[in-house]
Amino acid sequence: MISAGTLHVITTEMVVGMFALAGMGYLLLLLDKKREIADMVAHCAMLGGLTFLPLAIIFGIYANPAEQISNKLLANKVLLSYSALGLSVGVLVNRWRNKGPISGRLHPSIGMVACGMILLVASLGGMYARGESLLFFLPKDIVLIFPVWASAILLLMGLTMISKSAIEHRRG
Amino acid sequence: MQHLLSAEVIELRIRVIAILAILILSASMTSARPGGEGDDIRSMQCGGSCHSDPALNASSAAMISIEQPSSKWAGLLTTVTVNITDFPESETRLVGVFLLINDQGAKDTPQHDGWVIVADPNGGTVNYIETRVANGETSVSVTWTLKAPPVAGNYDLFASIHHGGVGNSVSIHGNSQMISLAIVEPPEDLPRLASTFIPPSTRSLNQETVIILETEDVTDYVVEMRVPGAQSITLEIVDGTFTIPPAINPGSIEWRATLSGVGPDQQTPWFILIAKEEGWQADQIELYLQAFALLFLMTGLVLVSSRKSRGEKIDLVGVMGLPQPDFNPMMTMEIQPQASLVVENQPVIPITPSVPPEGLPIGWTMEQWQHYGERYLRGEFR
Repeated sequence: MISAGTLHVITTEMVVGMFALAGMGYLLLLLDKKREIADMVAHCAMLGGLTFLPLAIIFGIYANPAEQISNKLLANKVLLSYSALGLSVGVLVNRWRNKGPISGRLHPSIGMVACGMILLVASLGGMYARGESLLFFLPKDIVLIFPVWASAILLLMGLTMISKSAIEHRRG
Repeated sequence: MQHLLSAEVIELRIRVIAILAILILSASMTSARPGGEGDDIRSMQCGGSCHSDPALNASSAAMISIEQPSSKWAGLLTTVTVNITDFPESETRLVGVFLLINDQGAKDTPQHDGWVIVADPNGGTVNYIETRVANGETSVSVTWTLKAPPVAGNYDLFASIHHGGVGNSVSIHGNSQMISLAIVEPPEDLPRLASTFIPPSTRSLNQETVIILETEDVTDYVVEMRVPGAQSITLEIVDGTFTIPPAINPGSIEWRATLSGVGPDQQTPWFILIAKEEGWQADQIELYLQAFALLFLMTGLVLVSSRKSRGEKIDLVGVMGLPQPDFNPMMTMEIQPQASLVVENQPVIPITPSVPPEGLPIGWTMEQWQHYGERYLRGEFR
Protein backbone atom coordinates (compact mmCIF):
# COMPACT_ATOMS: atom_id res chain seq x y z
CA MET A 1 0.00 0.00 0.00
CA ILE A 2 1.31 3.42 -0.92
CA SER A 3 1.52 5.75 2.04
CA ALA A 4 0.15 9.28 2.05
CA GLY A 5 3.74 10.50 2.41
CA THR A 6 4.77 8.90 -0.88
CA LEU A 7 1.73 10.27 -2.68
CA HIS A 8 2.50 13.67 -1.20
CA VAL A 9 6.03 13.50 -2.61
CA ILE A 10 4.75 12.49 -6.07
CA THR A 11 2.11 15.21 -6.25
CA THR A 12 4.45 17.80 -4.75
CA GLU A 13 7.06 17.11 -7.39
CA MET A 14 4.44 17.53 -10.09
CA VAL A 15 3.31 20.81 -8.55
CA VAL A 16 6.81 22.18 -8.03
CA GLY A 17 7.98 21.17 -11.50
CA MET A 18 4.99 22.72 -13.22
CA PHE A 19 5.08 25.88 -11.16
CA ALA A 20 8.81 26.26 -11.76
CA LEU A 21 8.10 26.05 -15.51
CA ALA A 22 5.23 28.51 -15.12
CA GLY A 23 7.55 30.85 -13.24
CA MET A 24 10.00 30.82 -16.15
CA GLY A 25 7.12 31.60 -18.50
CA TYR A 26 5.98 34.54 -16.39
CA LEU A 27 9.57 35.78 -16.17
CA LEU A 28 9.75 35.83 -19.97
CA LEU A 29 6.40 37.62 -20.09
CA LEU A 30 7.69 40.15 -17.60
CA LEU A 31 10.80 40.67 -19.71
CA ASP A 32 8.57 40.90 -22.80
CA LYS A 33 10.39 38.05 -24.53
CA LYS A 34 8.76 35.34 -26.63
CA ARG A 35 5.35 36.53 -25.54
CA GLU A 36 3.16 34.03 -27.38
CA ILE A 37 5.11 30.95 -26.32
CA ALA A 38 5.75 32.23 -22.80
CA ASP A 39 2.07 33.04 -22.33
CA MET A 40 1.01 29.56 -23.40
CA VAL A 41 3.68 27.76 -21.38
CA ALA A 42 3.16 29.85 -18.23
CA HIS A 43 -0.59 29.41 -18.06
CA CYS A 44 -0.72 25.76 -19.16
CA ALA A 45 2.01 24.84 -16.66
CA MET A 46 0.23 26.75 -13.92
CA LEU A 47 -3.03 24.99 -14.76
CA GLY A 48 -1.24 21.65 -14.59
CA GLY A 49 0.32 22.56 -11.26
CA LEU A 50 -3.04 23.70 -9.93
CA THR A 51 -4.65 20.36 -10.70
CA PHE A 52 -2.09 18.59 -8.52
CA LEU A 53 -1.89 21.25 -5.79
CA PRO A 54 -5.09 20.26 -3.92
CA LEU A 55 -3.95 16.62 -4.01
CA ALA A 56 -0.55 17.61 -2.66
CA ILE A 57 -2.21 19.57 0.16
CA ILE A 58 -4.58 16.73 1.07
CA PHE A 59 -1.88 14.03 0.98
CA GLY A 60 0.41 16.36 2.93
CA ILE A 61 -2.18 16.73 5.68
CA TYR A 62 -2.69 12.94 5.83
CA ALA A 63 1.07 12.36 5.79
CA ASN A 64 1.48 14.33 8.99
CA PRO A 65 1.88 11.63 11.65
CA ALA A 66 0.46 13.88 14.37
CA GLU A 67 -3.28 14.35 14.50
CA GLN A 68 -2.83 18.06 15.06
CA ILE A 69 -0.62 20.55 13.27
CA SER A 70 2.01 20.95 15.92
CA ASN A 71 4.81 22.41 13.85
CA LYS A 72 4.98 26.04 12.79
CA LEU A 73 6.61 25.13 9.49
CA LEU A 74 3.58 22.98 8.64
CA ALA A 75 1.18 25.78 9.55
CA ASN A 76 3.13 28.17 7.32
CA LYS A 77 3.05 25.59 4.54
CA VAL A 78 -0.74 25.36 4.77
CA LEU A 79 -1.22 29.15 4.74
CA LEU A 80 1.27 29.75 1.93
CA SER A 81 -0.06 26.97 -0.27
CA TYR A 82 -3.66 28.19 0.04
CA SER A 83 -2.54 31.77 -0.71
CA ALA A 84 -0.61 30.59 -3.76
CA LEU A 85 -3.65 28.58 -4.82
CA GLY A 86 -5.77 31.72 -4.61
CA LEU A 87 -3.31 33.84 -6.60
CA SER A 88 -2.96 31.15 -9.26
CA VAL A 89 -6.72 30.74 -9.66
CA GLY A 90 -7.04 34.53 -10.03
CA VAL A 91 -4.29 34.67 -12.64
CA LEU A 92 -5.79 31.82 -14.67
CA VAL A 93 -9.33 33.20 -14.48
CA ASN A 94 -8.05 36.57 -15.68
CA ARG A 95 -6.26 34.94 -18.57
CA TRP A 96 -9.34 32.86 -19.44
CA ARG A 97 -11.64 35.89 -19.33
CA ASN A 98 -9.24 37.93 -21.44
CA LYS A 99 -9.33 35.32 -24.23
CA GLY A 100 -5.78 36.22 -25.11
CA PRO A 101 -2.42 37.28 -23.74
CA ILE A 102 -2.55 40.00 -21.13
CA SER A 103 0.10 42.64 -21.51
CA GLY A 104 1.55 44.82 -18.82
CA ARG A 105 3.74 43.82 -15.94
CA LEU A 106 1.09 43.25 -13.28
CA HIS A 107 -0.24 39.95 -14.61
CA PRO A 108 3.12 38.15 -14.99
CA SER A 109 4.28 39.66 -11.71
CA ILE A 110 1.36 38.11 -9.84
CA GLY A 111 2.03 34.83 -11.64
CA MET A 112 5.64 34.94 -10.54
CA VAL A 113 4.64 35.70 -6.95
CA ALA A 114 2.34 32.65 -6.98
CA CYS A 115 5.13 30.47 -8.36
CA GLY A 116 7.57 31.85 -5.80
CA MET A 117 5.15 31.04 -3.00
CA ILE A 118 4.82 27.44 -4.20
CA LEU A 119 8.59 27.07 -4.35
CA LEU A 120 8.79 28.54 -0.85
CA VAL A 121 6.24 25.96 0.33
CA ALA A 122 8.40 23.22 -1.19
CA SER A 123 11.45 24.66 0.49
CA LEU A 124 9.68 24.66 3.86
CA GLY A 125 8.84 21.00 3.21
CA GLY A 126 12.53 20.28 2.74
CA MET A 127 13.26 22.11 5.96
CA TYR A 128 10.61 20.04 7.77
CA ALA A 129 11.57 16.65 6.35
CA ARG A 130 15.32 16.90 6.07
CA GLY A 131 16.18 19.78 8.37
CA GLU A 132 17.86 21.82 5.66
CA SER A 133 16.83 24.18 2.91
CA LEU A 134 18.33 26.70 0.53
CA LEU A 135 16.16 29.25 2.30
CA PHE A 136 17.73 28.49 5.67
CA PHE A 137 17.79 32.19 6.56
CA LEU A 138 14.00 32.45 6.75
CA PRO A 139 12.54 32.61 10.27
CA LYS A 140 11.18 29.23 11.32
CA ASP A 141 9.42 30.08 14.55
CA ILE A 142 6.96 32.67 13.30
CA VAL A 143 3.46 31.88 12.20
CA LEU A 144 0.66 34.42 12.07
CA ILE A 145 -2.71 32.88 12.80
CA PHE A 146 -5.58 35.32 12.84
CA PRO A 147 -8.51 35.02 15.22
CA VAL A 148 -11.66 33.54 13.70
CA TRP A 149 -13.39 36.92 13.34
CA ALA A 150 -10.49 38.39 11.36
CA SER A 151 -10.37 35.39 9.04
CA ALA A 152 -14.15 35.60 8.60
CA ILE A 153 -13.85 39.27 7.57
CA LEU A 154 -11.09 38.43 5.09
CA LEU A 155 -13.17 35.57 3.73
CA LEU A 156 -16.15 37.86 3.23
CA MET A 157 -13.95 40.47 1.57
CA GLY A 158 -12.59 37.84 -0.80
CA LEU A 159 -16.00 36.46 -1.67
CA THR A 160 -17.33 40.00 -2.21
CA MET A 161 -14.49 40.85 -4.56
CA ILE A 162 -14.96 37.62 -6.52
CA SER A 163 -18.72 38.23 -6.81
CA LYS A 164 -18.19 41.83 -7.88
CA SER A 165 -15.66 40.78 -10.47
CA ALA A 166 -18.01 38.10 -11.81
CA ILE A 167 -20.89 40.56 -12.10
CA GLU A 168 -18.71 43.13 -13.88
CA HIS A 169 -17.46 40.46 -16.24
CA ARG A 170 -21.02 39.43 -17.14
CA ARG A 171 -21.94 43.03 -17.81
CA GLY A 172 -19.00 43.11 -20.18
CA MET B 1 15.80 39.78 -39.07
CA GLN B 2 16.00 35.99 -38.88
CA HIS B 3 19.68 36.30 -38.12
CA LEU B 4 18.96 38.77 -35.31
CA LEU B 5 16.31 36.50 -33.83
CA SER B 6 18.65 33.54 -33.89
CA ALA B 7 21.32 35.55 -32.14
CA GLU B 8 18.77 36.57 -29.52
CA VAL B 9 17.68 32.99 -29.00
CA ILE B 10 21.27 31.82 -28.69
CA GLU B 11 22.00 34.57 -26.18
CA LEU B 12 18.93 33.58 -24.16
CA ARG B 13 19.94 29.94 -24.18
CA ILE B 14 23.44 30.78 -23.04
CA ARG B 15 22.01 32.80 -20.17
CA VAL B 16 19.66 29.99 -19.15
CA ILE B 17 22.49 27.43 -19.27
CA ALA B 18 24.73 29.77 -17.26
CA ILE B 19 22.03 30.23 -14.59
CA LEU B 20 21.40 26.47 -14.39
CA ALA B 21 25.14 25.80 -14.15
CA ILE B 22 25.52 28.32 -11.34
CA LEU B 23 22.59 26.78 -9.46
CA ILE B 24 23.94 23.24 -9.88
CA LEU B 25 27.45 24.21 -8.86
CA SER B 26 26.26 26.19 -5.85
CA ALA B 27 24.44 23.15 -4.39
CA SER B 28 26.60 21.19 -2.02
CA MET B 29 26.55 17.39 -1.88
CA THR B 30 24.86 16.32 1.29
CA SER B 31 23.35 13.43 3.18
CA ALA B 32 19.85 12.39 2.19
CA ARG B 33 18.17 13.27 5.46
CA PRO B 34 20.58 15.07 7.77
CA GLY B 35 17.67 16.09 9.98
CA GLY B 36 16.61 12.50 10.51
CA GLU B 37 13.49 10.69 9.41
CA GLY B 38 11.45 10.95 12.56
CA ASP B 39 10.37 8.33 15.04
CA ASP B 40 8.18 5.67 13.48
CA ILE B 41 7.58 1.95 13.13
CA ARG B 42 10.33 0.97 10.71
CA SER B 43 12.10 -2.11 9.41
CA MET B 44 15.88 -2.32 9.63
CA GLN B 45 17.55 0.42 7.60
CA CYS B 46 14.04 1.44 6.62
CA GLY B 47 13.66 -1.77 4.59
CA GLY B 48 16.65 -0.81 2.46
CA SER B 49 14.50 1.79 0.75
CA CYS B 50 17.19 4.43 0.74
CA HIS B 51 20.47 2.62 1.18
CA SER B 52 20.15 -0.62 -0.78
CA ASP B 53 23.19 0.34 -2.83
CA PRO B 54 26.29 -0.86 -0.93
CA ALA B 55 28.19 2.14 -2.28
CA LEU B 56 25.94 4.35 -0.19
CA ASN B 57 26.64 2.49 3.06
CA ALA B 58 29.41 2.39 5.61
CA SER B 59 29.87 0.44 8.83
CA SER B 60 29.67 2.28 12.10
CA ALA B 61 32.56 2.18 14.53
CA ALA B 62 30.10 2.38 17.42
CA MET B 63 29.64 -0.58 19.75
CA ILE B 64 25.99 -1.56 20.08
CA SER B 65 24.69 -3.90 22.74
CA ILE B 66 21.24 -4.88 23.85
CA GLU B 67 20.58 -5.82 27.46
CA GLN B 68 18.47 -8.79 28.45
CA PRO B 69 14.90 -7.74 29.31
CA SER B 70 14.32 -7.02 32.96
CA SER B 71 11.65 -9.73 33.21
CA LYS B 72 10.60 -12.57 30.96
CA TRP B 73 7.02 -13.28 31.97
CA ALA B 74 4.63 -13.78 29.08
CA GLY B 75 2.19 -10.92 28.66
CA LEU B 76 3.78 -8.77 31.38
CA LEU B 77 5.66 -5.51 31.20
CA THR B 78 9.41 -5.46 30.79
CA THR B 79 12.12 -3.10 29.62
CA VAL B 80 14.85 -3.48 27.01
CA THR B 81 17.86 -1.16 27.00
CA VAL B 82 20.13 -0.54 24.01
CA ASN B 83 23.60 0.82 24.78
CA ILE B 84 25.63 2.60 22.14
CA THR B 85 29.25 3.33 23.00
CA ASP B 86 32.28 4.66 21.09
CA PHE B 87 29.96 6.75 18.97
CA PRO B 88 32.08 8.12 16.10
CA GLU B 89 32.40 11.72 15.01
CA SER B 90 29.22 12.99 13.46
CA GLU B 91 28.20 16.43 12.28
CA THR B 92 24.66 16.32 13.65
CA ARG B 93 25.32 13.75 16.42
CA LEU B 94 21.91 12.36 15.51
CA VAL B 95 21.53 8.60 15.75
CA GLY B 96 18.55 6.49 14.74
CA VAL B 97 18.02 3.34 16.82
CA PHE B 98 15.93 0.38 15.69
CA LEU B 99 14.62 -2.30 18.06
CA LEU B 100 14.09 -5.40 15.92
CA ILE B 101 13.55 -9.16 16.02
CA ASN B 102 15.67 -10.16 13.01
CA ASP B 103 18.02 -8.70 10.44
CA GLN B 104 16.01 -9.59 7.36
CA GLY B 105 14.83 -6.04 6.67
CA ALA B 106 11.17 -7.13 6.53
CA LYS B 107 8.65 -8.33 9.10
CA ASP B 108 11.28 -7.53 11.68
CA THR B 109 9.58 -5.17 14.13
CA PRO B 110 8.91 -6.45 17.68
CA GLN B 111 5.19 -6.30 16.93
CA HIS B 112 5.64 -9.13 14.44
CA ASP B 113 6.53 -11.44 17.35
CA GLY B 114 3.70 -10.25 19.56
CA TRP B 115 5.63 -7.67 21.59
CA VAL B 116 3.67 -4.54 22.42
CA ILE B 117 5.67 -1.32 22.66
CA VAL B 118 4.22 0.49 25.65
CA ALA B 119 6.72 3.34 25.58
CA ASP B 120 9.73 4.11 23.45
CA PRO B 121 12.66 6.17 24.71
CA ASN B 122 11.09 9.37 23.36
CA GLY B 123 7.70 8.73 24.93
CA GLY B 124 6.03 7.31 21.84
CA THR B 125 5.12 3.74 20.95
CA VAL B 126 7.40 2.97 18.00
CA ASN B 127 10.40 0.71 17.40
CA TYR B 128 12.56 3.34 15.66
CA ILE B 129 13.59 6.47 17.50
CA GLU B 130 16.09 9.22 16.93
CA THR B 131 18.18 10.73 19.64
CA ARG B 132 21.23 12.93 19.86
CA VAL B 133 24.49 11.99 21.45
CA ALA B 134 25.38 14.85 23.76
CA ASN B 135 28.39 16.98 22.89
CA GLY B 136 31.49 15.62 24.54
CA GLU B 137 29.84 12.21 25.04
CA THR B 138 30.49 9.09 23.01
CA SER B 139 27.74 6.91 24.43
CA VAL B 140 24.00 6.89 24.76
CA SER B 141 21.48 4.44 26.21
CA VAL B 142 17.86 4.14 25.22
CA THR B 143 15.18 2.03 26.87
CA TRP B 144 11.94 0.63 25.54
CA THR B 145 9.10 -0.51 27.78
CA LEU B 146 7.49 -3.56 26.24
CA LYS B 147 4.72 -5.96 27.02
CA ALA B 148 6.10 -9.43 26.38
CA PRO B 149 4.39 -11.72 23.87
CA PRO B 150 1.41 -13.49 25.43
CA VAL B 151 2.64 -16.92 24.35
CA ALA B 152 5.62 -18.52 26.07
CA GLY B 153 8.54 -19.45 23.84
CA ASN B 154 11.95 -18.40 22.56
CA TYR B 155 12.23 -14.95 21.11
CA ASP B 156 15.05 -12.91 19.57
CA LEU B 157 15.76 -9.22 19.89
CA PHE B 158 18.46 -7.08 18.45
CA ALA B 159 19.23 -3.43 17.82
CA SER B 160 20.46 -1.58 14.78
CA ILE B 161 21.57 2.00 14.39
CA HIS B 162 22.24 4.41 11.56
CA HIS B 163 23.75 7.86 11.61
CA GLY B 164 25.68 10.35 9.52
CA GLY B 165 29.32 11.28 9.58
CA VAL B 166 31.28 14.42 8.91
CA GLY B 167 30.76 16.42 5.74
CA ASN B 168 29.58 14.55 2.68
CA SER B 169 29.12 11.25 4.44
CA VAL B 170 27.30 8.15 3.29
CA SER B 171 24.80 6.50 5.62
CA ILE B 172 26.60 4.66 8.43
CA HIS B 173 25.09 1.53 9.95
CA GLY B 174 25.75 -0.80 12.83
CA ASN B 175 24.04 -3.80 14.44
CA SER B 176 24.16 -5.36 17.88
CA GLN B 177 24.51 -9.05 18.58
CA MET B 178 21.19 -10.89 18.55
CA ILE B 179 19.99 -11.89 22.00
CA SER B 180 17.70 -14.86 22.58
CA LEU B 181 15.36 -15.04 25.52
CA ALA B 182 12.91 -17.56 26.80
CA ILE B 183 9.54 -16.05 27.66
CA VAL B 184 7.74 -18.19 30.24
CA GLU B 185 4.21 -18.31 31.58
CA PRO B 186 3.98 -16.51 34.92
CA PRO B 187 2.81 -18.54 37.94
CA GLU B 188 -0.89 -18.07 38.68
CA ASP B 189 -0.34 -16.35 42.03
CA LEU B 190 2.55 -14.18 40.87
CA PRO B 191 2.10 -10.60 42.12
CA ARG B 192 1.95 -8.55 38.96
CA LEU B 193 0.72 -5.40 37.31
CA ALA B 194 -2.69 -5.78 35.73
CA SER B 195 -2.64 -6.53 32.01
CA THR B 196 -4.69 -3.36 31.50
CA PHE B 197 -2.18 -1.13 33.27
CA ILE B 198 -0.23 1.15 30.92
CA PRO B 199 2.42 3.24 32.68
CA PRO B 200 2.40 6.89 31.59
CA SER B 201 5.42 7.71 29.44
CA THR B 202 5.24 11.50 29.08
CA ARG B 203 4.00 14.49 31.03
CA SER B 204 4.12 18.28 30.90
CA LEU B 205 6.41 20.47 32.94
CA ASN B 206 5.27 21.75 36.34
CA GLN B 207 2.54 19.13 36.62
CA GLU B 208 2.62 16.37 39.20
CA THR B 209 1.72 12.90 38.00
CA VAL B 210 -0.76 10.82 39.96
CA ILE B 211 -0.59 7.10 39.16
CA ILE B 212 -3.11 4.48 40.20
CA LEU B 213 -1.29 1.20 40.15
CA GLU B 214 -3.53 -1.59 38.86
CA THR B 215 -2.34 -4.95 40.12
CA GLU B 216 -3.28 -8.63 40.32
CA ASP B 217 -2.51 -11.01 43.20
CA VAL B 218 -0.88 -8.13 45.10
CA THR B 219 -1.48 -7.46 48.79
CA ASP B 220 1.04 -4.67 49.23
CA TYR B 221 3.51 -2.70 47.18
CA VAL B 222 6.29 -0.14 47.51
CA VAL B 223 7.13 2.44 44.83
CA GLU B 224 10.58 3.90 44.27
CA MET B 225 11.52 6.85 42.11
CA ARG B 226 14.91 8.07 40.90
CA VAL B 227 16.60 10.38 38.49
CA PRO B 228 18.45 8.09 36.06
CA GLY B 229 21.71 7.00 37.61
CA ALA B 230 20.95 8.52 41.03
CA GLN B 231 19.85 7.06 44.37
CA SER B 232 16.19 6.09 44.49
CA ILE B 233 13.65 7.39 47.03
CA THR B 234 10.46 5.72 48.22
CA LEU B 235 7.16 7.34 47.38
CA GLU B 236 4.21 7.48 49.73
CA ILE B 237 1.16 5.48 48.69
CA VAL B 238 -2.24 6.91 49.58
CA ASP B 239 -5.43 4.99 48.77
CA GLY B 240 -3.70 2.92 46.15
CA THR B 241 -2.21 5.89 44.36
CA PHE B 242 1.17 7.57 44.43
CA THR B 243 2.26 10.96 43.16
CA ILE B 244 5.40 11.79 41.22
CA PRO B 245 6.38 15.41 41.90
CA PRO B 246 6.37 17.90 39.01
CA ALA B 247 9.42 18.45 36.82
CA ILE B 248 10.71 21.98 36.45
CA ASN B 249 12.93 21.25 33.46
CA PRO B 250 12.61 18.82 30.53
CA GLY B 251 14.10 15.45 31.41
CA SER B 252 13.15 12.05 32.68
CA ILE B 253 12.68 10.20 35.94
CA GLU B 254 12.25 6.52 36.52
CA TRP B 255 9.97 4.63 38.88
CA ARG B 256 9.31 1.03 39.75
CA ALA B 257 7.14 -0.94 42.15
CA THR B 258 7.97 -3.89 44.34
CA LEU B 259 4.87 -6.05 44.47
CA SER B 260 4.12 -8.41 47.38
CA GLY B 261 1.48 -11.12 47.53
CA VAL B 262 0.99 -14.82 47.98
CA GLY B 263 3.66 -15.63 45.41
CA PRO B 264 7.26 -14.44 45.49
CA ASP B 265 7.82 -10.66 45.54
CA GLN B 266 8.24 -9.13 42.12
CA GLN B 267 9.93 -5.93 41.01
CA THR B 268 8.62 -4.17 37.95
CA PRO B 269 11.16 -2.75 35.50
CA TRP B 270 12.16 0.89 35.88
CA PHE B 271 9.51 2.80 33.96
CA ILE B 272 10.67 6.04 32.37
CA LEU B 273 8.53 9.15 32.62
CA ILE B 274 9.63 11.94 30.30
CA ALA B 275 8.82 15.56 31.10
CA LYS B 276 8.43 17.69 27.97
CA GLU B 277 7.67 21.31 27.34
CA GLU B 278 4.18 21.89 26.00
CA GLY B 279 4.58 22.00 22.24
CA TRP B 280 3.02 24.59 20.02
CA GLN B 281 -0.24 23.47 18.44
CA ALA B 282 -2.36 25.24 15.89
CA ASP B 283 -6.08 25.57 16.35
CA GLN B 284 -7.31 23.61 13.34
CA ILE B 285 -10.42 25.72 12.81
CA GLU B 286 -8.54 29.02 13.00
CA LEU B 287 -5.78 27.74 10.71
CA TYR B 288 -8.01 26.34 7.97
CA LEU B 289 -10.45 29.24 8.13
CA GLN B 290 -7.54 31.61 7.64
CA ALA B 291 -6.21 29.43 4.82
CA PHE B 292 -9.54 29.53 2.98
CA ALA B 293 -9.88 33.25 3.70
CA LEU B 294 -6.46 33.84 2.13
CA LEU B 295 -7.43 31.66 -0.84
CA PHE B 296 -10.57 33.67 -1.62
CA LEU B 297 -8.96 37.00 -0.72
CA MET B 298 -6.01 36.42 -3.06
CA THR B 299 -8.31 35.30 -5.88
CA GLY B 300 -10.56 38.31 -5.31
CA LEU B 301 -7.66 40.75 -5.18
CA VAL B 302 -6.20 39.45 -8.45
CA LEU B 303 -9.57 39.57 -10.21
CA VAL B 304 -10.42 43.07 -8.95
CA SER B 305 -7.00 44.49 -9.71
CA SER B 306 -7.30 43.15 -13.23
CA ARG B 307 -10.77 44.66 -13.75
CA LYS B 308 -9.53 48.03 -12.59
CA SER B 309 -6.54 48.08 -14.87
CA ARG B 310 -8.40 46.65 -17.84
CA GLY B 311 -10.33 49.83 -18.59
CA GLU B 312 -7.10 51.76 -19.02
CA LYS B 313 -5.41 49.28 -21.28
CA ILE B 314 -5.75 48.02 -24.80
CA ASP B 315 -3.81 44.97 -25.82
CA LEU B 316 -2.63 44.70 -29.37
CA VAL B 317 -0.40 41.71 -28.88
CA GLY B 318 -2.82 39.35 -30.55
CA VAL B 319 -3.18 41.70 -33.48
CA MET B 320 0.52 42.40 -33.71
CA GLY B 321 1.68 38.86 -33.30
CA LEU B 322 -0.97 37.22 -35.43
CA PRO B 323 -2.73 39.27 -38.04
CA GLN B 324 -6.28 38.37 -37.05
CA PRO B 325 -9.09 40.50 -38.39
CA ASP B 326 -11.31 39.90 -35.36
CA PHE B 327 -9.52 42.26 -33.06
CA ASN B 328 -10.70 41.79 -29.49
CA PRO B 329 -10.99 45.09 -27.63
CA MET B 330 -10.70 43.19 -24.31
CA MET B 331 -7.05 42.49 -25.04
CA THR B 332 -5.14 45.11 -23.17
CA MET B 333 -1.89 46.93 -23.34
CA GLU B 334 -0.83 50.02 -21.51
CA ILE B 335 -1.48 53.14 -23.50
CA GLN B 336 1.61 55.22 -23.78
CA PRO B 337 1.08 58.55 -25.49
CA GLN B 338 3.18 58.45 -28.62
CA ALA B 339 4.62 61.61 -30.06
CA SER B 340 1.96 63.67 -28.42
CA LEU B 341 1.94 67.43 -28.38
CA VAL B 342 1.47 68.60 -24.84
CA VAL B 343 0.36 72.14 -24.26
CA GLU B 344 -0.11 73.40 -20.76
CA ASN B 345 -3.74 73.32 -19.69
CA GLN B 346 -4.67 71.89 -23.06
CA PRO B 347 -5.81 68.34 -23.90
CA VAL B 348 -3.20 65.96 -25.31
CA ILE B 349 -3.38 65.92 -29.11
CA PRO B 350 -1.68 62.87 -30.62
CA ILE B 351 0.04 63.32 -33.92
CA THR B 352 -1.13 60.68 -36.39
CA PRO B 353 1.68 59.28 -38.54
CA SER B 354 1.09 58.85 -42.22
CA VAL B 355 -0.52 55.61 -43.28
CA PRO B 356 1.98 53.53 -45.30
CA PRO B 357 1.29 52.98 -49.00
CA GLU B 358 0.31 49.33 -48.37
CA GLY B 359 -2.43 50.54 -46.03
CA LEU B 360 -3.16 49.90 -42.36
CA PRO B 361 -1.82 46.69 -40.83
CA ILE B 362 -4.32 43.83 -41.03
CA GLY B 363 -6.96 44.11 -38.32
CA TRP B 364 -6.06 47.66 -37.30
CA THR B 365 -8.49 50.54 -36.96
CA MET B 366 -7.63 54.15 -37.64
CA GLU B 367 -7.88 54.88 -33.94
CA GLN B 368 -5.30 52.22 -33.18
CA TRP B 369 -3.10 53.60 -35.93
CA GLN B 370 -3.42 57.05 -34.39
CA HIS B 371 -2.04 55.74 -31.10
CA TYR B 372 0.37 53.02 -32.16
CA GLY B 373 1.21 53.85 -35.75
CA GLU B 374 4.55 55.41 -34.94
CA ARG B 375 5.62 52.38 -32.90
CA TYR B 376 4.51 50.17 -35.79
CA LEU B 377 6.63 52.15 -38.19
CA ARG B 378 9.57 51.77 -35.80
CA GLY B 379 9.10 48.01 -36.16
CA GLU B 380 8.15 47.34 -32.53
CA PHE B 381 5.18 45.13 -33.39
CA ARG B 382 6.73 43.00 -36.13
